[in-house]
Amino acid sequence: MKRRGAFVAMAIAAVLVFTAGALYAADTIILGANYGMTGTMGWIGGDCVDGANLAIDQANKKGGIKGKQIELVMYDSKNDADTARTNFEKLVKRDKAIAILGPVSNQETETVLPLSDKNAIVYTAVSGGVQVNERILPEYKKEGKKCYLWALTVGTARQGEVFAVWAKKKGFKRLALIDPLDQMGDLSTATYEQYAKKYGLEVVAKERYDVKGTDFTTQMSKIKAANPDVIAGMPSGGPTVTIVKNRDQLGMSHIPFKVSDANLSKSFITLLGENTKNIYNVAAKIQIPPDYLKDSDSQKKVIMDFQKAFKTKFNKEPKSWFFASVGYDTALMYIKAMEAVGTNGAKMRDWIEKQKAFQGAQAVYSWSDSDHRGIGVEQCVVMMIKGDDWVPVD
Amino acid sequence: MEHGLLSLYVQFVLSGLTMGTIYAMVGIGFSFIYRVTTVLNFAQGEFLMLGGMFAITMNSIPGSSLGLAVAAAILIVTAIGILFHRGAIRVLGKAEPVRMILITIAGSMFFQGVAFLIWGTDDYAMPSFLKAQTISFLGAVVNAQLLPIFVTAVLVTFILKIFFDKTIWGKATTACAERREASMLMGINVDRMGMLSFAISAGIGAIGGILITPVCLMQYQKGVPLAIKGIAGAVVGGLGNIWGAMLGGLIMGLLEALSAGVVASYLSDIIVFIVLMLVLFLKPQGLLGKKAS
Repeated sequence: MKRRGAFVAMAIAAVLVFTAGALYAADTIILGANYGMTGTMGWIGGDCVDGANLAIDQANKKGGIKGKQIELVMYDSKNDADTARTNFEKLVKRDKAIAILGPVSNQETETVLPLSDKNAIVYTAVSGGVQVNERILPEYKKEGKKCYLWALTVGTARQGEVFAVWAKKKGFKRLALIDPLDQMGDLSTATYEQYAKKYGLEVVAKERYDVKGTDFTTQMSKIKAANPDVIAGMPSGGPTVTIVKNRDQLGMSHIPFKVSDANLSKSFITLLGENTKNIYNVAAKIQIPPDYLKDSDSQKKVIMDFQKAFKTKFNKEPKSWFFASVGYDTALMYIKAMEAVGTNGAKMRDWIEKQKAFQGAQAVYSWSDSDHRGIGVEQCVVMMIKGDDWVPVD
Repeated sequence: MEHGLLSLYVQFVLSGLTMGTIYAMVGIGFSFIYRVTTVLNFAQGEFLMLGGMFAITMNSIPGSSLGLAVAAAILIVTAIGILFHRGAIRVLGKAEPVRMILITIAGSMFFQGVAFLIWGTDDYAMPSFLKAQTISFLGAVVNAQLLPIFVTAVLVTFILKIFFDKTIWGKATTACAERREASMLMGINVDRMGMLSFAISAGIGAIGGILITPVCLMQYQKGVPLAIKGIAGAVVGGLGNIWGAMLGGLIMGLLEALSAGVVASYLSDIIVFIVLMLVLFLKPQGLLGKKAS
């Protein structure tokens, strides 16, 4: 008897919660966040959510969408594919989210892809390794389906292209590749080979390494034997430091070496110690200290305004301006789409795909049915380490 | 070109020795504990990680010196080894091998968890022990840091050998390993010997960890992959044999570098473990191991 009473109470509570949710949803517009907020990569989701809340705040202060306030409902995906899927369902079914921000990682992104088609809900990933332009869009086009996935980062492939263009411009001819033995490495090596061919560079070595390794002189000496004049790949984190040291030990510190944008931090420069010669990177302009942007660059004011607004709202800097800007731009993209075409997912999707000069904090995006990243080659910069900063180079 | 090819192969061998010596340092600690207690201590990799981490932290304290930091780190990790034996192995183990293995695996995770809480997920660097960055040899170059690692590994092996053969404590630990009950009857404090083995192995692990930190940085998860290779090396060399652990570790490193160099990196692990299985198939007790009586 007692147990039944408890059950009835729970059922009533559940009904109340759901109706309350529905009533609440009626006069607010819900955006859903599905980032990993805890664990080793949790800070990325944290920065993204802060950025998104800034954009939503700004929109709400201007009156929201046709008088309705926007609210961000978030669930922690823990950077786990199963949790990301559950969160996506919850956000769509229970919270009636109009569009979804996140997830971060490639595996999560792939897992929720079918759900976005089924529910006609736009969602936006973070990882540069998501093969939205390289694989997913062409597949969807072939099947005559519309893709609801966006990824607002430069991406591994575009980074490769930007660097290949730069290497060509500098007169380099012999490109050596070094990539980790994982999915990111596969993508990196494949795209470098493609762009090397396109821009007339010769790939003289293709080395891979185990990220758990302690010494990479074997790979680097094979690269040395191939006599390259430029080295590139996507080494990230601790192994990058060892690889750079190994390059220098083998007397190749004069050869430019492009590493992953995950290394665009001061702490990476500190870890390199003396081994900071000729280390390059590719990134969107948000990654550059604003002082280095030319006054004539329209993005300079946008970035400075964004950073000022962020500091005013949160009274702190994000861990990374890059991820904060990704979250900001994602929310902004949804807000502008809703302002233009309302809250229908399919209409929002079509509207976003048509934007050719969408002003975000990170970059000016130009989307199409073959580019759901939208940060063009001209929006990216090649950077190198100077002193203890990453600075742009010509 | 001939000379270029030669120096490339010399380079592979030197790279292999660099990695192999690191694996040897893990394997020696692992083999030592096994010899005395017949426990397979899967937390050995964490002793390395903790050694490196504590040395970095101690070194960053104002007024500290590298030497002081290293000594403090070795002492701390040795104490952790003793506590691990007292608090977990002795209390929960009671000589059942399967339970002991589970306890050491749990210990490995526990140490990682604590290290994560203290140091987070960042990589940490430490200054080199030698001024020179590299040593040249036959047209190949090697990280100068290899020299102290190699010398220390050989030194540790020698000292342990003398310890086992010449000292009463060493003989007592060997006795414990071979005839546990008989040793007890002879008045050897088996439990105390177990503690001693954990203390020394933790200390050796810490030294290894400190030495490799300038080569490959240190991070809370760095222990496990090193432990896997080190343990594999110790098994190939003959579990319980200190020289065997050294030899096995070097073989692991050389195989890894040569297979990555001559064939391809992505086949390296497969080649290494096929060779290891062949060795164990032909000589199940390991290269220098004694036949089971």
